[in-house]
Amino acid sequence: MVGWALRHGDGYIETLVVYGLVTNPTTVAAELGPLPDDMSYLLSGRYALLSENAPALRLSSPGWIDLTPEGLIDINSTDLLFKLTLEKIITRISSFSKNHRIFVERYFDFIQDQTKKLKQPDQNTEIFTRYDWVFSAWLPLTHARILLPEKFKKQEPCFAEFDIAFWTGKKLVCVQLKQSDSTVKSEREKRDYLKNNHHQIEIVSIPRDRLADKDMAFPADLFDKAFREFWSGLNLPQGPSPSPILMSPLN
Amino acid sequence: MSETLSKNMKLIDHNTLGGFGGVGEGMALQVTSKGKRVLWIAHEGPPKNFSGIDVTDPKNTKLICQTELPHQNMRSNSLEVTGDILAVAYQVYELGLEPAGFELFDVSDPENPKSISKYSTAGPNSRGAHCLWFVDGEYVHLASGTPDLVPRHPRDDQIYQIIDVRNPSKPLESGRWWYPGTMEGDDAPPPERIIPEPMDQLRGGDAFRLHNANVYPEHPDRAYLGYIDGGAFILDISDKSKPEVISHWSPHNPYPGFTHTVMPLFDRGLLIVSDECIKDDAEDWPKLTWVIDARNEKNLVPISTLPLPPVEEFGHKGGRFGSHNLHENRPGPSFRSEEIIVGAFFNAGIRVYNLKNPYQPELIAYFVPPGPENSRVPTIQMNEVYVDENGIVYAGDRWSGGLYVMEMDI
Repeated sequence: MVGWALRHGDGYIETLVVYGLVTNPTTVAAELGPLPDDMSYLLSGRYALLSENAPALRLSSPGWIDLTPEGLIDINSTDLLFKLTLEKIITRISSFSKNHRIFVERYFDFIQDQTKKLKQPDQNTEIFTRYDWVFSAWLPLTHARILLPEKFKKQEPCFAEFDIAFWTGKKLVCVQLKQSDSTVKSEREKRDYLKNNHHQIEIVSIPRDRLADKDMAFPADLFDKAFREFWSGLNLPQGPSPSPILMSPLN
Repeated sequence: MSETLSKNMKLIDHNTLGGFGGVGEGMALQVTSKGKRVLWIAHEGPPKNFSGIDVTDPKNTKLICQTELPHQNMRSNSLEVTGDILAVAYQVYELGLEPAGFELFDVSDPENPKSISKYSTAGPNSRGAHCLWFVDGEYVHLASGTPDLVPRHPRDDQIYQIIDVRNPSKPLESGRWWYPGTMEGDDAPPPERIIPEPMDQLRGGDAFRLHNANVYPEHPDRAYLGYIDGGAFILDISDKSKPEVISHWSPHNPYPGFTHTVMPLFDRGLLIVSDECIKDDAEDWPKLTWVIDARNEKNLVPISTLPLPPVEEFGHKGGRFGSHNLHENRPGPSFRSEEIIVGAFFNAGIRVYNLKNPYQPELIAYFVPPGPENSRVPTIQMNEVYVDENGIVYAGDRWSGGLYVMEMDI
């Protein structure tokens, strides 16, 4: 599928996001075909392939994290599992990207803080606590590279790069942590193309000073309410890599 | 070399600076209150002091100011501008001459610079200032001799000095630091020479003296020093009166000396450290630009170098071949990138690297013009480079070519 990601002919859009520590996203793209007819998305530790009606990618979404029973043997609390999830995300951040790490760490603090706003369920009747909703937060796709369609530049596959991306089921929220004056023309053109041709793209730029101060919180005010209230529309919280039976919608 | 070699760069203007096209190691861009953009250029040697070029239209640059040195036995190799204040380094060719140190100018009217003050570092063992850094409007970070210190080796004279210019009419020394063992009275023994040279020549290598000191407003408590044969230093300058060494890294020897610039990439925990080639015909090859892992600033680890073209292709074309000045990500109307590195490499021209993967820097653009007329050597000798916030690259030839203005297509 090298060379395209956005298909427009029938109004249908498919988006490939290569993410994490991939030095050559073209090799990842070359391994993939279009989505099977019965699938609305594919998620792995290196890519997310999304139809426009794909469900949101959350920390609980299967495919991105390689949790094994052995690895979970000492994880005896939601808090430990949440910390393990953060560690797994950080392994997908370059050692030389301090701001990515700061952003993700603050994002995880933000997730915890958001769940405190939820009503605590009645512990006599519910098996979940409000803290269990942390895994319903959007999955951060670090070092996101979004494949552009062939018509952008035919001779080679091109990717628009963003520092972090989140797929909320309705929008692909692309976060820029870099200074605008450091952006070179080719990067700017690719981002502009995506912005102008992908109706689900939303770009959020984080000013440098919002990350520089150690005491600053996650810049939640730069994200909309739907992003902040990530639990909306869900019936139950789920942990990462849930059993398929839990993935089935409740009737 | 008779033709231009280029990739993803094109020349949009060339200005020979009124026939005085020898460009030193100072380029800085001023945007005046009226929106005029003036590139200030230091000269490699006399008779000119500094030049001001109107680069408001970078495709049609105009020389609007060119000043004279007080005498021919000196040069103003380095300069910086912050706001409307221009700082110019003065270096003399013989010990004890004046003026040595730096001078501040009010350039609010760029066609008529007015002297504000002079700071003298002249003395019997001083040849003044080779380089300065002035980007915050408050302190000049100076590589200079001093009126008082006595270097054990005559080429180890220029030390790190922090000069408070918050009152620009009365510059005051705030602090100083030098390589231990290089001054008379030091407890430390003199450093072992890397490649010993005759001691009667003041200019050149075989020196444990400061070349560049870079201090950035976002981390004002750190100074990054290129100390020639002494290598790279990170200093804690939170107390400017007592700079303290945090870490030191030097590839010399086995590498042939002359650490020039130490540029931090703060968000990435990296340093870019350039050597300077100082001999023609690749006699001191390889002069490299190093990528240093500085995530732990107390333990600096080299992880790669910026790839250079083959020495057999460039080494004997004439003049110098190898690393030198970098675009230093300074604040102001300046390109600031932690991934794109632009450097001047003498006869290998201006070269642009993508450092997205710091283990494998990638050459993405270059521009190597033909050797200019009236040069001492047959090749271009790109000596200095500055990139503005729009990605326009300004570069200067060391001997006669003057200013080259380029666009990057990256």
